Amino acid sequence: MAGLHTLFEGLIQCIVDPVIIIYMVFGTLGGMIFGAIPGLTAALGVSLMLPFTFYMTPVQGIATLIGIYVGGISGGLVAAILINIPGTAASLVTCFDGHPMAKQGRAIEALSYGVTSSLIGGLFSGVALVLLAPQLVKIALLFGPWEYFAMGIVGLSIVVALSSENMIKGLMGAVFGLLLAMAGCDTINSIPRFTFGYWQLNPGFDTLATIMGLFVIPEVLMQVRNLDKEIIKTQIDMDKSLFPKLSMFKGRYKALSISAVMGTIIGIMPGVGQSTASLLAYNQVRTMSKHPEEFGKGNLEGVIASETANNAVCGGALIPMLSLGIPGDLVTAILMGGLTIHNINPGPLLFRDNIGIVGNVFASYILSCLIMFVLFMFLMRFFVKVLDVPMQYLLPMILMMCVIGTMTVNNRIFDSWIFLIIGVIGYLITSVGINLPPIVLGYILGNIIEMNFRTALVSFSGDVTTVFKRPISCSLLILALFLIIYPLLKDMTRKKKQQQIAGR
Amino acid sequence: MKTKTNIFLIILLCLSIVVVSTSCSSGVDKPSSEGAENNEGDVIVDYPNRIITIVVPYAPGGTHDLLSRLLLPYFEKRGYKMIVQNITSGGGEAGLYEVVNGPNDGYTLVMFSPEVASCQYMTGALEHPFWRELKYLGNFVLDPSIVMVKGDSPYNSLEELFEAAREKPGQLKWNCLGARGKNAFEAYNIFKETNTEFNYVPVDGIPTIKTNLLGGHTDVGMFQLSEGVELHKSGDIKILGVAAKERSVFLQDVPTFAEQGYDLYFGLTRCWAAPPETPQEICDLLTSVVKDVYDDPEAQEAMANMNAAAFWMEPDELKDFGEHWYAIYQEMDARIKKE
Repeated sequence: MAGLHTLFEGLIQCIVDPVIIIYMVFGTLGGMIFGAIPGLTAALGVSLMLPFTFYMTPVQGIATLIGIYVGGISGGLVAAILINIPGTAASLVTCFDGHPMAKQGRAIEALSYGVTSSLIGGLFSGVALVLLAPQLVKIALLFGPWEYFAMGIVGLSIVVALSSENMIKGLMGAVFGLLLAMAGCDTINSIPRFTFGYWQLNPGFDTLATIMGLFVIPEVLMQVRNLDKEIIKTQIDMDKSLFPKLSMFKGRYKALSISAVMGTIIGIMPGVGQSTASLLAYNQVRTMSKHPEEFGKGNLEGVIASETANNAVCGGALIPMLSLGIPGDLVTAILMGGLTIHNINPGPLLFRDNIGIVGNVFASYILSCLIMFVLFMFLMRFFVKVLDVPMQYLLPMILMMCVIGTMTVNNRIFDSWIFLIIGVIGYLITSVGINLPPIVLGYILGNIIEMNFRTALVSFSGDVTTVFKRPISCSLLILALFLIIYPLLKDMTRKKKQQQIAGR
Repeated sequence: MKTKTNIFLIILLCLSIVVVSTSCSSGVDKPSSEGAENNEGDVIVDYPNRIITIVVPYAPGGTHDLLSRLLLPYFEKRGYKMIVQNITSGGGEAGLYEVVNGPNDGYTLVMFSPEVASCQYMTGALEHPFWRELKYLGNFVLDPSIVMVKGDSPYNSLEELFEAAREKPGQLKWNCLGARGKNAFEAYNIFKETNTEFNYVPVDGIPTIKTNLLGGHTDVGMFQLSEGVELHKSGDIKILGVAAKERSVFLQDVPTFAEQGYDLYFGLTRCWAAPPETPQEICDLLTSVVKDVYDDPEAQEAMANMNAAAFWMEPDELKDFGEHWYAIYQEMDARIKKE
């Protein structure tokens, strides 16, 4: 119960210095706006704010940065649901089911569930952070290169499930995504691949530029193509209330809890990130659902899975940061910088030497989740008004924000060109019927799979069988095999039954 | 049809505005050997009359970035207003090219270590031996490399570790940042001098090395001292040796490599440099201000709080440092290629 005590102390700090709450509210709001605009990310917001926190007290600074973090990760769902373009990479899976729901006139329902799921995911990982940080961090340490590789393979096996209609095209998409991930210098031999002689491509295609390119440009070009056709404008069911009801998750507790747990655990593992977590949670919920074929067409559980998991990652990422001084993702790395600037060194001794800061992080995180929820309830009407803007103005603005946003990652225009070029290629590919999810999957997971596979091989001197000798990686690979075979079998039996019925 | 053309025109207009404005304000992306115009004469009388930009080619919140940001207030007190600009990419090339191809009026500086520049020139990441031409402004910090094992590991000294490695050549795993970079060459240098053979496993980030150490996925790890102090103090990892000339003030109980019989010194400098054609008077002025800040006891305390070991080096010493390591890197690279 030491954790609760620390949390309590952190909350007291906020009452003693109410300026903290004010900074947190503005931070969360700023983060939500950054998250909602495609092209701007939570990481950008946090790094922009970092120098300013130097002039605040450490507690105020951390509260602001965490507010931006939580707001930024949550904000992405707005654009994902309303215009099928993820506001941040964390919400890309929300597009799969969120936007079809909006097209069916269930936008407010999707937004409501999305925001509430974000809150629940955030609070769940917050509780895990407060109560179980030292124990949970040990789970992260169990994951070595083989385990990361196996986890990546589990993720890739989703492609089979997602491509039940056209396996060839799904696999083609995944392979294209994998190829995109291979660009750059590889970590084992430092040999440049697919860089075409551009030294700027040595680290590979910039992740934000690629993901935004794949989502934004095909969508924009497609919308432009369809503009003079009779398009059913996304109806906003304004008469429905955004506010959640207590019974809203009835029958969906499984989806909610699986996603929350998976998001938290994956958040603890450094370097994996929100997009992978939401992908894996989505797949898990889909596999265990009674109607997996509805996923991708507007199944509410898809939105729940994605948003719960991606917010749970934030709390999870704070666990190794506080317990060991190891950042869970890019934003937590910047957060650590924010602490160091105030002469606080994150590490295992943080709990001993500076428990006040730990309490502050606990309190800021949980309060930010709540503030995010409240802000969304009040401000969703304004976010939704975005759809009233005619497409011919909205689309160029989004493109512009993406160009600017991709440029700010490395402060150079090269990445914006990558955004445009990959976007055009993505448009050409999607217009022949290859869907986006497998491509994105291949791209995001490609790095994890390839890098860890080769690192593991070097580590174990080329012995591939060691992957089966380790319990975690072996069981994950078996799970992957199951996830590949099970949907195929289900599909086969379903088709057989249909044939039988038709034959009668 | 009109709406469609409208959209395309608007999109084109917006994009071109953004592209043109941003490429005008930022420098050229491709490396070139010509610099900008050189302002001679009485520039120094008026200097500095506006904000100086320190380009840090690494991510915000990282150790390089934080050091620069931490020192800014001390420069401001002396009348030098500065800001930090992060231009990140891979090993830092983008930021370096940006500054080298930019103006030489002393208002744009870069944070780049000579030994990193010489290493990257050798591996081909940099196309030009910049470390020979950059005008260094003095060194703030020399962060020595440390070799560490898990807290409960059976090895308590470097010698025990190396003995075990000699008994089982190629079996003990050694995690380091990068496959063919500064850290790799340092590691291979160690292997050569100690006559040991480790299984060198490159990884992509220091957090990965830390989790691998703690989780038992590697036997040995090596990175800079400032990154490992906290974990050592908590006992989660054991630092076996520091590759410095004297014991670190942050780790009084850890012997150096030299004390254990191996005369090996590796470190990562943290310094600022001006582009090659910057007028010498401005460089000298900046160097003296840098030294002044370095000597400031408050600045020293700030650096110490970051576990960063302050170590002054004159501009020429920095250049020689880069040259010294260039030769060693070449030797190590040949060695790696043979394997």
